[in-house]
Amino acid sequence: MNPENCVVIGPAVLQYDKDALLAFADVILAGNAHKTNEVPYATVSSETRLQDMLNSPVFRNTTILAPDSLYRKYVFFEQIDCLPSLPAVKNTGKKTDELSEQSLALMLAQWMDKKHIYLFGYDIENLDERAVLLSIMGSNNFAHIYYVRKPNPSKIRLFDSYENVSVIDYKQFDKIRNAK
Amino acid sequence: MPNNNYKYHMTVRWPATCRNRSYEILKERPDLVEQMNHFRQKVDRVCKLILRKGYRVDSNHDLQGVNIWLESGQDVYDFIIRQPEFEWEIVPELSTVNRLTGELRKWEIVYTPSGITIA
Repeated sequence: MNPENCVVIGPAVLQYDKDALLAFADVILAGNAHKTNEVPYATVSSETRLQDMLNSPVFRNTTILAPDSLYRKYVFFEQIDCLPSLPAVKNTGKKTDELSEQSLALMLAQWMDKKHIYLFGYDIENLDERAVLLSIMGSNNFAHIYYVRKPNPSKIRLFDSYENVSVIDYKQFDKIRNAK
Repeated sequence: MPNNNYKYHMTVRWPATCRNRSYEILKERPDLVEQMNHFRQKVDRVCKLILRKGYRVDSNHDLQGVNIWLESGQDVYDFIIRQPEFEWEIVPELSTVNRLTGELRKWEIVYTPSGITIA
């Protein structure tokens, strides 16, 4: 596993082998949408989802990271930790506890100084989420972000103006994974 | 520093007669030092009895009280809730070690009629 890589799994549909992702890089799961595999890190911003995660055995060894306000309520659960101060939050115009789990997961990957961040199942259909994603991408010049999706002939032009962002499909990701 | 397994830190106040004593006074009052040592031993014995996971009673002297490091959040909760049973009082602060950042952060314990909350 290359410590410079990180996979962020969002709440949208993911049709890729999660075991392969876990073997490839550190994985940060956004919320509880894909709770089939044990992952090292998960972010959460909703109390109901956090409660579900605490009751799911698959999260027993996961470091669950929550904003301050939520962490205070669940401080006596050892799996939970407080999210670090995320510099990219400022650019979104929102507070940490107003951001979605996938945004927090991506910011956490940046905070970890990962050089290659692969976004799987990342929801960009929601316009608010899309705006936040673009502001995170705009605030970051260190990491290269790969938006990974199912093979699809239609192109995504959304990230064209960002030099540090690429759109790749599962087959292209396979090549990266096998090369590393 | 504690080992990596200890996530929580609390301080149990010294018995009333031993509180806020300077090192100079303690040198002149061996009776107080003995009382403090007995108190530390009592805390250790009770921890051994009631805590389910690992803990460590700090042997370094602290003017506020006895410092304890704990692994389990459930143990911390029980320890706080059962204070009257053992006739001691903790400093109403709880410190937690963040596993990701390694930062030790202090939180205030607030007692409410239905239990405790963290502010």
